[in-house]
Amino acid sequence: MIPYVLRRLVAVAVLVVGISLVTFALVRMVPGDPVALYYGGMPVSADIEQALRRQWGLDQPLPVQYLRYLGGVLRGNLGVSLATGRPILDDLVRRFPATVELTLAGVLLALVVGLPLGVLAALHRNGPVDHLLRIGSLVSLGMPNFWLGLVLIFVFGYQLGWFPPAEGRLAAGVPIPGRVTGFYTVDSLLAGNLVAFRSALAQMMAPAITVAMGLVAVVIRMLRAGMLEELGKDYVRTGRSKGLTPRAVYYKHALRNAIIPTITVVSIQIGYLLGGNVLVEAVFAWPGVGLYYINAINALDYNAVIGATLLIAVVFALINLGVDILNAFIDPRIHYA
Amino acid sequence: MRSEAAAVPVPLAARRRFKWNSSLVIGGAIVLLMVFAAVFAPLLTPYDPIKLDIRGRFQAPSTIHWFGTDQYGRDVFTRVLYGARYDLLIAVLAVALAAGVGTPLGMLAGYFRGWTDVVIMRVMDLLLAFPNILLAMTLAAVLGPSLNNAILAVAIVGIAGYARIAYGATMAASTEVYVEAARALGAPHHRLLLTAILPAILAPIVIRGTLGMGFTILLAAGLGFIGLGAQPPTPEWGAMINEGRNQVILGRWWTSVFPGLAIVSLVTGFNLLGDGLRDALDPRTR
Repeated sequence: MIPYVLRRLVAVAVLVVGISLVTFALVRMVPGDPVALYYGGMPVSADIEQALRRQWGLDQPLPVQYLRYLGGVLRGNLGVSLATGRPILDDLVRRFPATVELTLAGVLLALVVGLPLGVLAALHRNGPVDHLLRIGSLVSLGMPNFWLGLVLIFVFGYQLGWFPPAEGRLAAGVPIPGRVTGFYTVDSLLAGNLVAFRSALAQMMAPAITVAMGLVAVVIRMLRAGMLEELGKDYVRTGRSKGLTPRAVYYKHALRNAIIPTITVVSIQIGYLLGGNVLVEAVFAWPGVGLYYINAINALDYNAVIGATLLIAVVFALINLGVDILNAFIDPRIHYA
Repeated sequence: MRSEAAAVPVPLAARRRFKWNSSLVIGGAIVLLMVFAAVFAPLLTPYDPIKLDIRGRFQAPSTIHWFGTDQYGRDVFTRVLYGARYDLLIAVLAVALAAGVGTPLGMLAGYFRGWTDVVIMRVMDLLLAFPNILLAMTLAAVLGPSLNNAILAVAIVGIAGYARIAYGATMAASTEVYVEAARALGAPHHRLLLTAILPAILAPIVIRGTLGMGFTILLAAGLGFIGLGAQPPTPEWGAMINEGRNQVILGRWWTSVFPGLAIVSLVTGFNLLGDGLRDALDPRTR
């Protein structure tokens, strides 16, 4: 177990170095000269240009430049955003809780809806409910999330008036609760501020449903397949023949075994969601890492774009590491040679 | 079963193994319908997809404008039809590029093993280290917003998937008796790879490619939506959704909803087709 964890840790460290290599290459791919970019194309005297190049290390050979870059990244230096004028990592860290809160809300919603439906589909295999769910899953997998977000804004916001306008994490005029976790729903509760809590929850509904939509189909499919596999096993027959009710066999035994791979897949999906939710944040003006990233793209703030890419990739790698290690703990059958 | 299949000539074996199913038929029909719309767009609509008609803007769907008109007075139905050209083109080009680069890389790694394997597959791992939508957007941003760069970005993101499948399938095929027989007869590497291994690994690549079409369309539409893909006034569906975005909030839903429905239909069509092909081609799933 311990050697396995250590080996995975080393692998992730190597991966992070690899990620930095890719992002360094991306930095070099940015069109135009960095000095010209810095001055917005204004003419610069040769002396200043020389000095800037030396200061930024652009006069060094590429491998040296990369090592400098890697050193900076490891110390948390992702450069300064041209748009906000602040260190990029500070900007990202400040916005990270918003992204995590939305992602977790979406995942929670997907599980709450998807798990019962997955069981239902498996128990009524090839029945009308199963077919209906299959068609629904299929269509939901074909939906662009940014489009679904717009449809929700129109139907539930504009037409029905159920959701507040998409203007971020709190309705206008509601003060931000004191920062403890950075999750507005949690912080407002901790502060006993029910007005802020209700507003935070209401603002999160539509974006969370959008996030959940892409995941529900995955949950249903995985759990259905897992349940069907378990239901065909001997222990289920044994349980039934010794007189256990179907309910006890299905929910106490089969579901518990079937749920592990589903949860694994969902956990890995969280990493993908951090990337995919960029568009959802853009649609709902949700001030997370994704919206920051989109704004940076529009402002041609390449350092910020690549910095956000790097941060999300590293978090993605860490999530996968966590999932692997957790799985090794949970499932004693898995042996890692 | 296996020995019997080996005894019959290849075309017959292939025909016998191919089984039609409903996913295949429905998915194929949807995709064909979209191809039809793309090819015959000028015959299917009297309107122009680009020309402005400011006086006729913001018309709700009616018998004259089935999908209404957008903020420039352009017929949305017409733009959706012409949009099929762009989204199909993006999907086909990006998948062909990704599979065309990824498959040989995976084959080389799986065939030669050793350092070739290590170098190629570790680079592929790096591509997979980024959430794919994010990598596609960052690449497109760095390359500069245009339709060509969007296709290139989406293709690069797809390479690793094909490499992995080709890698696994090549390793499996390399141990087959007929490959060893060909090797024993002195067939050079390139002939082994092209005539013995490639045909054997084609089915999973084709299945992946079909399923990848849907995914590629979603990715490219996402790029179009944030302005990194096709540029206005190109009637690409993602870009159209973006153009109609501010209208949706004002209740003019049709400018964004219809291109989105077109995306859902085409992606679902490709997903069905891919699932159907897998069931039809892969004997293990039957």
